[in-house]
Amino acid sequence: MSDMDKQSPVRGCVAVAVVEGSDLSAAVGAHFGRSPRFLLVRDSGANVQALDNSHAEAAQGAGTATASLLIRNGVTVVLAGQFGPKAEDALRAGGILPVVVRPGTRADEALAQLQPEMLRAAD
Amino acid sequence: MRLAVASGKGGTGKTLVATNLAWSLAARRAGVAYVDADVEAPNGHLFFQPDFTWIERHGVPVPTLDGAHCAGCGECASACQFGAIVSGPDAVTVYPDLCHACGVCLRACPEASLREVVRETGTLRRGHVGRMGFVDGTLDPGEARSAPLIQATVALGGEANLAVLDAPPGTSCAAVAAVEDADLVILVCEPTPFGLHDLELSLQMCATLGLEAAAVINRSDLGDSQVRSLLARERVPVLAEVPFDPEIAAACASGMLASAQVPGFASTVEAVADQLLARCGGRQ
Repeated sequence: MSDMDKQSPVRGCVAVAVVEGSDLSAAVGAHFGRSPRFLLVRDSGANVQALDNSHAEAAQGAGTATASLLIRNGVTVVLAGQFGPKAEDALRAGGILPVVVRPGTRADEALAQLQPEMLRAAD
Repeated sequence: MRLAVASGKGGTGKTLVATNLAWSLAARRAGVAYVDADVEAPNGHLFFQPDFTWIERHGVPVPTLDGAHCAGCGECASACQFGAIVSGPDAVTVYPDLCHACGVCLRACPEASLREVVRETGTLRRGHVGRMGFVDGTLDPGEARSAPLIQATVALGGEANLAVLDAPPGTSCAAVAAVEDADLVILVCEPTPFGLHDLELSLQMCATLGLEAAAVINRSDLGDSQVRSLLARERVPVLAEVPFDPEIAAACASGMLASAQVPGFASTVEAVADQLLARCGGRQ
């Protein structure tokens, strides 16, 4: 975690599962592990970066492999429509807070609804 | 010599052919074993009621950190292609049911902190029925990956001079694990649109693996001629045609070998056994 991240109101990095799109107008995707892309949101939305998920079509283990991908990318909170039990377990073991959001919600609207303590708790 | 009895479609008569063929071969030659590698639903034992001389649990290796020092570098998780290992800030978590036991995580760990422990997934049994050898493997309920147990079952059965392998249906990893080292794959098929479709898949599997295939057409007087056309086109020899016979079904339903009950079927099986013994000739 860089010093810059620690000073911003949204600490760490929030990942949003999306099917397509690379800005915060994208819709939140339904399934965590099968999500082909994540938007990595830093600095309260000032910094948005798309991360493609090569595990989305894995025969097995998509959820846990995707969790590892987010752990490697320094994510602290992740938003998706649904999390599988192993994916949720792996995320929590990796210090990432999974947050269920109604699929199809705009990413920026979903982020606005996040409780500030969630964003800090997972840091 | 390994003969694998396989079929794309379930319920075509694979176990019927494998059990009766093994029994017939065992009557002609010593060193024959029936090997039930259909580990998700092994039921060859119901026809033979073997005397078991050896029963052992079988397992696959899975990684564990088990208190060893972990620098939290995440190399193990990056290396795993199956998402079976997740490296968090405080711990490495292993998901054993996702693990394919490839061991890459152990190699990836720069600290050599991971080691393998055995996770049991099924049971292997060895015994005999008269002078015929008997081997089967039984996968634990709910276990997702059958291939390691199938490979162990086939290896145990492969100690016989002539092993008749009862393979799982389909063409996935399980079927491949059972047939991949066979000298001949006997595809049991039926002349229906379903049988045709699944026979095509089975033939593709054999071609991909470079395996020689032969066919037994079961319920051969039903359905249509498309299966025969396919076998002729692909130059796959037909070892036997077994017409539909309620007597065969009745024998199977009461757990008896049909060749012991239905003389017509017995002579069909004997003819197949003779062809196969002539085929394998000097090589055992």
